[in-house]
Amino acid sequence: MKKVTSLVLALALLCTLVTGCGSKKEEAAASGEGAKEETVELNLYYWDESFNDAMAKVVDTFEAAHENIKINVTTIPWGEYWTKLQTTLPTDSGPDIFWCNYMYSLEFIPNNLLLPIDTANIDTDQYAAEALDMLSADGQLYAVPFMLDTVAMVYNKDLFDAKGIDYPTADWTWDDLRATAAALTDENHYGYCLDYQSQMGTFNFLLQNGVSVYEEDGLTPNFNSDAAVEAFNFQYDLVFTDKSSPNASQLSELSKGDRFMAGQVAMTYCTSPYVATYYEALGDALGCVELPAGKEEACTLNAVGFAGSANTAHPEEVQMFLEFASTAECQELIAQNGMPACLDAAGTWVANFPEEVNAQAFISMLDVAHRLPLAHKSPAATRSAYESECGNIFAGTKTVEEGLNDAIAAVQAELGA
Amino acid sequence: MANLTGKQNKRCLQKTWNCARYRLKQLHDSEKVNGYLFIAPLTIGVVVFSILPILFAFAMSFTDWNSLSTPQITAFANYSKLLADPNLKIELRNTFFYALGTVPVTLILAVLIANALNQKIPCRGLFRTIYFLPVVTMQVAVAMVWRWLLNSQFGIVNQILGFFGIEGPMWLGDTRFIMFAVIIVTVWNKLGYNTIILLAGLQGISDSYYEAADIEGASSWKKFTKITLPLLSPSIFFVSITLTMDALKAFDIIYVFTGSGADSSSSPMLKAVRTMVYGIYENGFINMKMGYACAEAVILFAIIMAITAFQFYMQKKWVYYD
Amino acid sequence: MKRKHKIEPGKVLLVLLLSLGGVVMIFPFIWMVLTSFKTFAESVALPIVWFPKEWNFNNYAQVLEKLDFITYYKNTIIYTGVVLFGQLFLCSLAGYSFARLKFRFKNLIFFLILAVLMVPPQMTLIPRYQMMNYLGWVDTYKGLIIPMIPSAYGTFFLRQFFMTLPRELEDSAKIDGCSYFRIYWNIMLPLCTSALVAYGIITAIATWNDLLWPLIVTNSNSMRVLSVAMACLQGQNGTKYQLLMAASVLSTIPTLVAFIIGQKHFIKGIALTGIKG
Repeated sequence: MKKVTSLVLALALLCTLVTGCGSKKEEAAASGEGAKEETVELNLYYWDESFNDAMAKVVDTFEAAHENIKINVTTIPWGEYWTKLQTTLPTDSGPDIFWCNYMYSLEFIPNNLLLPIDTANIDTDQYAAEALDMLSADGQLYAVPFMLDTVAMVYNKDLFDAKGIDYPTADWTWDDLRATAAALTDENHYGYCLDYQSQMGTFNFLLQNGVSVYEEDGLTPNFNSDAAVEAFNFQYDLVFTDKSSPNASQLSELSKGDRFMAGQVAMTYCTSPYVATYYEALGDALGCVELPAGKEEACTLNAVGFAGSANTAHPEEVQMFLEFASTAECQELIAQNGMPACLDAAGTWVANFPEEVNAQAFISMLDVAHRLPLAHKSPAATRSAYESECGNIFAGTKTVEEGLNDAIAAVQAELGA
Repeated sequence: MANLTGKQNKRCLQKTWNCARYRLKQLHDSEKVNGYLFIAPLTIGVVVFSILPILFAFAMSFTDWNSLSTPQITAFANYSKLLADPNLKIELRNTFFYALGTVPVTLILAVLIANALNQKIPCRGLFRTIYFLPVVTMQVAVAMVWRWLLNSQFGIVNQILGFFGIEGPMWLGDTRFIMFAVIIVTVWNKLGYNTIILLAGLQGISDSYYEAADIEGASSWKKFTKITLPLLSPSIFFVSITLTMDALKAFDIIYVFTGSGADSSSSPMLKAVRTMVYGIYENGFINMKMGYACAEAVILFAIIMAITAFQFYMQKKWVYYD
Repeated sequence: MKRKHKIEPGKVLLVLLLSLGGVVMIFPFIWMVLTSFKTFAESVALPIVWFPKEWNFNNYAQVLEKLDFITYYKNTIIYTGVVLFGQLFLCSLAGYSFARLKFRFKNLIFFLILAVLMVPPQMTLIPRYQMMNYLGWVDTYKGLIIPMIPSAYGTFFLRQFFMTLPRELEDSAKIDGCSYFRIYWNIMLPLCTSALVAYGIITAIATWNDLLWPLIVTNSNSMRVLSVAMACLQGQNGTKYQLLMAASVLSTIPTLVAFIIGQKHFIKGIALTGIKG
């Protein structure tokens, strides 16, 4: 008897699984194929849950205008976002639309994973030419930019007030930065916090000193020139000569962001998305200002766009959404959470913070922003190789020349491979 | 059959039916058949969902697959590049150091604590729950708290060391010490889990052994070494095998302590703690060189296989089964 | 004769040591709970703020509002429950067979299954997903649960445990004419209650907290599990620690309760007392 009961239980279990309470996607996939009248379901992936409201509004507005299209929005955690895309994009059960940034567009486009976008109905003039260029290849657009990241300097007003030092201004130079950082440093505080990685850190100094990092072809690194060494020496001095900034080992123990938010560090560089986080930690003590200039003013530019999957079953509907994403309406909705790609909507983002915070600084940096200087082949691998040598330099285990030369060698090995 | 009488027919059919029933019963009682039948669902499942993917990964190690498009066969190119890669040597060294640091310590502590939690002590249930808490605590919380505990300025660990006059190092910022930090946190993490397993094993040891020992006047130590340890040895064997396998596959804690994600790749601490699985992850998912990562996985597999086979061989010497 | 209640010095030392160790064990959990009541600024402040100035229950309110906990609880419970019972049944059956029954290639097959544990999970991620895609199981319960049921770890664990059980009971049952399944179901299983409970607890918790597989194989919100929902709270530009800890506490309570109930069942196998001596 017991045997029978257990067999019945096992069978019941098996049955529930086999028939399974699957999601509606299977039915949708079946229905989406044939009839054009029936609802088309699209899957949209993105990585920032602070955009939940904005994305919900974007989707609602789009669905209201297109009754037969339904978009399922999914947040994927940032840490696993690219792993998930890497796994699902080459298959036919991946997303139809997803957020893609510049670096990964360089990885995905050559592998034919992005849907080419027809720009006939898109107002390309509203974007900075660079932004569109970054998400295109051979003149073909592959992602509609909706968010840009520039780099500016953020500072802690309380620490300046405590020492009676004037706040940084937009016309600061490297020398001003160095002098003020030294003045702000004492037993418990650092005047400046170095970012030894690329986008928010070393690339900016290189660009400001006239180093393009890679040649036009995107395959020849040039960051061991004299100008590059000079740029690195400036940062090296800040860390090891003046001791106004923690070094890379100390940053391994306690990160730049943690130090700044805890009020241990007076000034640091960051990208526009961090303003919201820092504002929540520091409140009105947060201030933003344009980067101190080297030989020139410059900073890195990153673009994030809506991309369509080349493996989507509904390319026309995806195209329709992407056209909507380029409209001012959509850009305004996005601007409530992030710095929009469309300059007209920029004011909406700045308005998220009080005027004293001066988030406007990030918008001003757009005028002098250069696209993120990544290699056009193996961008992720070459970037890692470069950054790990930067880590060695600013941990003090290699000199600037050694580190840069080793970085060049490592990058060339990746590109040659 | 048509030529037989009705009765003969019936008898013949009965005989065939009896024959069949007898054969079925033989099958039903056969140890061999039951043996295969019982392992069938599990084995089929493992083959389909684990072994096939593994074979796929092994096959990919002979290509230049980047996981995004169709792979090109490159035969042994990945392997020759791997053997010349300086990272591989660093990873091998770190992986072994990590395994040697975590496995014996965790094993010994787990045995002692499980034994302690099996004694009749007050608040035994509470203690068991407390020692189990690391298993339920979120890994993010674990990493964060240990970061604070090991902070050279504000952390308690260095403050305690200070009481004894020792100047604590920068645990997470010094390449000489970060491995120890990782080992400490790993042991902390794995203790609760393995204590439970050993506790379950201890339940299988009959009280009558201890009663007999008490009658003979044996000391606690003698009881522990002559009764507990031998009878617990199958569980200890299990724990040592799984701890070793997990140690050789170490990834999570290293990933989190070096910053996780892109931050890990650039951390100057990485070379002191990067393990083989970290290398596999970095190559496969950050640098998009999946074929190369699969090759490293094959090498790791061979190493784990060799060590495990050795452990199984050695079990004859010290594991006591009924 | 009345037994005098002795306070053994050995026991006192033991309790003392266990308490010391216990403090180390409990630390992060306490911190997790305390942080769930802090403000963001308090959670990142240096020097470390241990106790929040005010007990902000609104972190919990925020988390409950942001995250669709009911759906996530449901999915996580289904995922954990079915995987748990599936594993307990499949692995104990196979473990018993590997431990006690004789058949050709037994050790070879066992080692093959063990070999699965020698490969890091990152390697099987993509092929497994492609298999799910091929079967049409992406974003379904089938895809989430079924690949997780056949467990090499569980089979190994239960095999070891079965090998420690005395053969006398089986032998006498066989003489009485019991079928092998009856022996397994009526005799062996009840004997390893503690092992099953232990393994059950461990598997339940590992599955409850499992992040990578549910994240890769499910997409829609209706299929999301707790661990994925919580991982979404960790952003690209910093994490709201106080919310993450609140969500963690909410997620941890069921597992903790399950353990507290379960650990009472680490009782000695009842049948053992009747065999020796």
